[in-house]
Amino acid sequence: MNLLQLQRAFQHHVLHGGEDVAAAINESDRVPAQLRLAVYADAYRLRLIEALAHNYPRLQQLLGEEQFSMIARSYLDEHPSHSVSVRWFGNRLAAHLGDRHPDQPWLAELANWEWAIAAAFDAADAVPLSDAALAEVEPADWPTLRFQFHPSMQRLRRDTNAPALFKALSDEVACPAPTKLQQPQQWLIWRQELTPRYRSLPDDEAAALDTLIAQGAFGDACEVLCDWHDPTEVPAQIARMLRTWVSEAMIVALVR
Amino acid sequence: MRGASLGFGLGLRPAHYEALLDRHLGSVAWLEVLTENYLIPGGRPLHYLERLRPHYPFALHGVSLSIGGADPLDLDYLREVKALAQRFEAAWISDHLCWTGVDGTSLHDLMPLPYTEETLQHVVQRVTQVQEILGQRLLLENVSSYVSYAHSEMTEWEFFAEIAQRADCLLLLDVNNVYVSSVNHGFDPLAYLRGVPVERVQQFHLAGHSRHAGCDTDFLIDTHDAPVAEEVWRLFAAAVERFGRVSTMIERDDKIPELPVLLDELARARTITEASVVQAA
Repeated sequence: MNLLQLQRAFQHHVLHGGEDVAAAINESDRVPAQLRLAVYADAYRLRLIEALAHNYPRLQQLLGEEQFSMIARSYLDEHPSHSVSVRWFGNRLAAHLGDRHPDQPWLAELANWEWAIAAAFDAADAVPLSDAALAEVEPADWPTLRFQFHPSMQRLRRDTNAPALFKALSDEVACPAPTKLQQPQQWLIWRQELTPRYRSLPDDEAAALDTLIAQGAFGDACEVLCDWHDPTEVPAQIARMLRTWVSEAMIVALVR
Repeated sequence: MRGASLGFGLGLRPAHYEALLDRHLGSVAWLEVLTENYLIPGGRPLHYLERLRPHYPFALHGVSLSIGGADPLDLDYLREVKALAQRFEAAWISDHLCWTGVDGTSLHDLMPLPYTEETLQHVVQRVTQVQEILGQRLLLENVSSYVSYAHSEMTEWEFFAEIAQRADCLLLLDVNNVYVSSVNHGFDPLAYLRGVPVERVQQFHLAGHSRHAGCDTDFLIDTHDAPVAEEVWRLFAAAVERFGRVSTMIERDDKIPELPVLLDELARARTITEASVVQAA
């Protein structure tokens, strides 16, 4: 067996239990080859299930350790890791849960939510815009002004109460019953200083924000708001939103 | 060939970030940083590295290089490691003498290599390539192993020494791993130490291990979840006697205690080293 063949046979044993590698392994009277190989195969499963639990702690809390382990094993069998760090292991868990448990859509949504929170946790850094920078904008520049948002910012739509489950599980208080919502809810996840944050968005704010995230101008966002508000009230509404976004450290630059 | 010792350090763990910056500022001489945990865009982990670095020299310690793997080297990963090392002015970069997966899969484990001429040539060529990219000598660490291969042509220490000489790299001697593997494979750990070239050893690792639960005989697992074992302290004393003052640190990855518990353990490493150096003088 050359080096490549040996590594393929050993990996096959770890992943699928194939026995081809056993002939290449020394055994002693005390410790047979099977037991020696089992150390690697067992540790592999334990380590990756633990990594998945580390990346999805609230999902594990919701499901309980036993059911989480079963799901983790089925995920691991279909999606072995291809990345250098276990930080990225589980990147397809939400899709896997969506396929396997379509009758419990909150599982996929909670998994996707936790992944987004983790992404906000270690997203790139950026210095938030100050109130002063906003005050310096010339009135004539406002209609065409564009905004750059914090790299951690993510817009999500939830069809279930997954965010409420996440909050209750994080706060270790009684968890509401998982449920599908009558109307989808709009959410925002971002990081303020070192801490991931999230909040729901009213439809008007979500529409204005989506316009600006898609590199629309301030004037475009004002126009969008006319679907919800009388045009005479739009300036006051968007000024209020803008103050909130700045105070929540979501905006990092103005693009003139 | 090897650089001066940094003294006595610890593996940096998030549980100790605040203690190392506050109550126990300056309590260790250096920190070993787990490379992969910081190959991220930003946020809290890198924020703490920035705050810790002015107070502690860093060494980077990786687990994903797969220097003995049959897949091509991951050049993107290497570039990221180099950038991290430059950003924090790492004193050196280490990884393990092992393979971690094949055909694009990562097992996230340190898999043992067969000790053959074929493997030697393969690893030496890759270490040379890595050192060219990093622009510095790499440190390779011996791993704990639970299997050995029937077609190996030399002992682990002969292989370890030969890699260092042929590839012109440095070594990270994990004293616990020498002990664990000596029990698991029935070799003399002192013979191992005698086989490792003194001038190549830049760093020591110390850690705790456990007995394998499903086995009624001595079969040890490198768990990093317990204090350093008495047998490993004895072997460490023998290592200090042979290799002299070498940068030494303790790794703990599970059941991580409060920082002072690890500082006490580290004090023992210092005491053993000082006693040995005094005796030698």
